[in-house]
Amino acid sequence: MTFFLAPPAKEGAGHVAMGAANSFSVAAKSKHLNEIVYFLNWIHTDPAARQIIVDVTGASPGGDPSLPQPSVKPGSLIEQALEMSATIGAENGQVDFMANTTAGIYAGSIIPESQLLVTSQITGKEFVERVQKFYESEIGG
Amino acid sequence: MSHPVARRATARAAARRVTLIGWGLLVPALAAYLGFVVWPLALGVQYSFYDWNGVGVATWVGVENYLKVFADQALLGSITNAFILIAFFTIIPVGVGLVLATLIRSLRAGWFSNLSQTVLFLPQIIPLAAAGIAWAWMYAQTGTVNQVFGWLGLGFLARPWLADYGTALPAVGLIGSWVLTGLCTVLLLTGIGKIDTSLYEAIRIDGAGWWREFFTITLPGLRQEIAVLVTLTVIAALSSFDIIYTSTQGGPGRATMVPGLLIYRIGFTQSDVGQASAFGIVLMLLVLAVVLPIQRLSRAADR
Repeated sequence: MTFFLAPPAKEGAGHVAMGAANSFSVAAKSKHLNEIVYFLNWIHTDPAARQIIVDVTGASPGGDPSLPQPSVKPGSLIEQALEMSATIGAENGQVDFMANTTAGIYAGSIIPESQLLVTSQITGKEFVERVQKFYESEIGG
Repeated sequence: MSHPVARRATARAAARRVTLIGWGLLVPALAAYLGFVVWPLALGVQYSFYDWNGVGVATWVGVENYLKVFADQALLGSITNAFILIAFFTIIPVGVGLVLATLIRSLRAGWFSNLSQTVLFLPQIIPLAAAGIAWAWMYAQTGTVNQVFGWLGLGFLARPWLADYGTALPAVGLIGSWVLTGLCTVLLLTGIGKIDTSLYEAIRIDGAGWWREFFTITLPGLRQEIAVLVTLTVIAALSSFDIIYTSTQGGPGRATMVPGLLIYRIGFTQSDVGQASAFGIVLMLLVLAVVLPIQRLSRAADR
């Protein structure tokens, strides 16, 4: 089985993928400010912690790309996922989830059009056109 | 004995006092009506002429919101669905209610007649939202409905009823039928009780059968009850929300989308209060356009 990034619209252009950035904040009046910051730093930079993240979640640990990558089974899907994740990072191609584009797009368009798409009532092209149309009407209206 | 003129003046004052007390007693109800019906309605009409997200600055757009109502395919589709629901919310419950009421009437009064009335009326006391959730479980791939079909040897009919484009709308419609049949039966039964029994005796002496009796005595005698029920259930169909919201959310695709749910989405998810208000006003006019002729018909028939 092979995973691959969705090909760019124009050949040679950068890849794009949806995802949410992990942002953390610590309350200024927190009792254990230093410990929390230490933990957050550890979990994002320590090789052992990054290994745990990959083993448990199967997702890229993120963080500084120059850090050593955790070891995974060669040829596994997780290995491919980490490579793709690195590509998206290098090409600066991460975008927010489509569902968050506008307030109503998820319930009003993505869900019903996805249902129509997976039941072969509409084509992929129609899906894209309809969601785009809804997006434009919501932005304009 | 007082002077006649003075007495008349006292009577007038008393009458005035009574009128004043009358108005005074009306004030609470009137205030609630003005505050919770008339005022929101006026605001809704006002909002419908603006482009407003509910928080920011509203801009006057004239009738643009109304034009969008009639141009939007999704909106028109939901209105069509609402009219299809009338078959399940009005025709089935009133029809089945008529049959059941006639049958219960012919039963001897006793525990069975009481029990059947109670069982039929039970769905009426369950909140529609809960009914929607419960029925969604029963309609599921492994739910009660498919299990029963399996026991009956009709397993080939099993399907995810709410996920199938062809069956989703009738399936949610039947939830409405289930809820409203009890109300219809009980009200029609009360109506039958009001019909003069001598009419039944007379027609039986004339040798009429069940059908003849039903169409000559029962049906005309229930005209007013039927008019009330048709009005109530048509409104329930056209403004349905809770059953759909808890069972299908308008899906699959937009197969079960209804105006009520769409108005809620446009107003509170898409934050387009103006558009939602315009659609709400159109829905109200639509309900009136359907319900008023029913009222007139029943009144004309009374004359």
